[in-house]
Amino acid sequence: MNAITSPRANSRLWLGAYLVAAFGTGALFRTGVIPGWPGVALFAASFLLLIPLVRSVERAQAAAGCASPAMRLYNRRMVIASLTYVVVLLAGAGAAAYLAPPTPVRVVLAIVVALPVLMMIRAMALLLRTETDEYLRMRIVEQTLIATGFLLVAASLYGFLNVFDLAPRLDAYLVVPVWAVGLGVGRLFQRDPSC
Amino acid sequence: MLNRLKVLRAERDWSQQDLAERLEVSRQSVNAIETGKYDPSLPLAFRIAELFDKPIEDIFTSPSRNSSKAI
Repeated sequence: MNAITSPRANSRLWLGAYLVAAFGTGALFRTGVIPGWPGVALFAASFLLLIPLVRSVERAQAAAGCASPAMRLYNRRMVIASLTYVVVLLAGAGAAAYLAPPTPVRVVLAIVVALPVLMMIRAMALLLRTETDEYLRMRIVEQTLIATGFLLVAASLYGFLNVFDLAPRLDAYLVVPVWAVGLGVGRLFQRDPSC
Repeated sequence: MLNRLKVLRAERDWSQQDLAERLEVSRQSVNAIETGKYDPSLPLAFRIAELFDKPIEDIFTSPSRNSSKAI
């Protein structure tokens, strides 16, 4: 992945590599091909690809003329929060499964695991507050509104599928990744998808 | 909203990046304003007018005036 490809194509390649690595290692662990801690460690390590992915995204944003100091800070905050989330989630899930701690400890574990997600939401809030470029800020606001609508539609539809026994119950924390997918959908619907 | 940003920029031989740096906005913002995809806020419109040393109405065309001309 060098200068042969454009910055945008390069970032898509890194996105593909990250998705293949994350889902691939996750599948290897879940199916028992690489069981136990080696499987968990490999899955966690795949998230390190977020670092080159975000760097490639920043290069693509700079090439498209839509980079900003606030966006760079947001990218860094999101990478730190995501890596913290993976580590804390796996450690928390492992502790809850193998140590069978009492209820108060499990409450603390749940809060600790949720903290990186709150870091991500804070990063988004700070981006909206600190982005001084009004056009970029408008795009972000549009994306968040579309993402929220996407989440509301998906959650309502899925909820009724579940009520009518057509779909299994899902964990509520999945709203955050679904909302993040909505951000991507929002970009597709914008008049100027180059950023 | 129609505007003469591209013409005024070309008169000064400025690239979109040059104008973006002078206005302290992203190049994509300049592009979006020039191509009519985005109407700037009043403060940004004033900054653009001050940069080119022209009244706002010399740079941006009122949409209502433009449509009344068409009638």
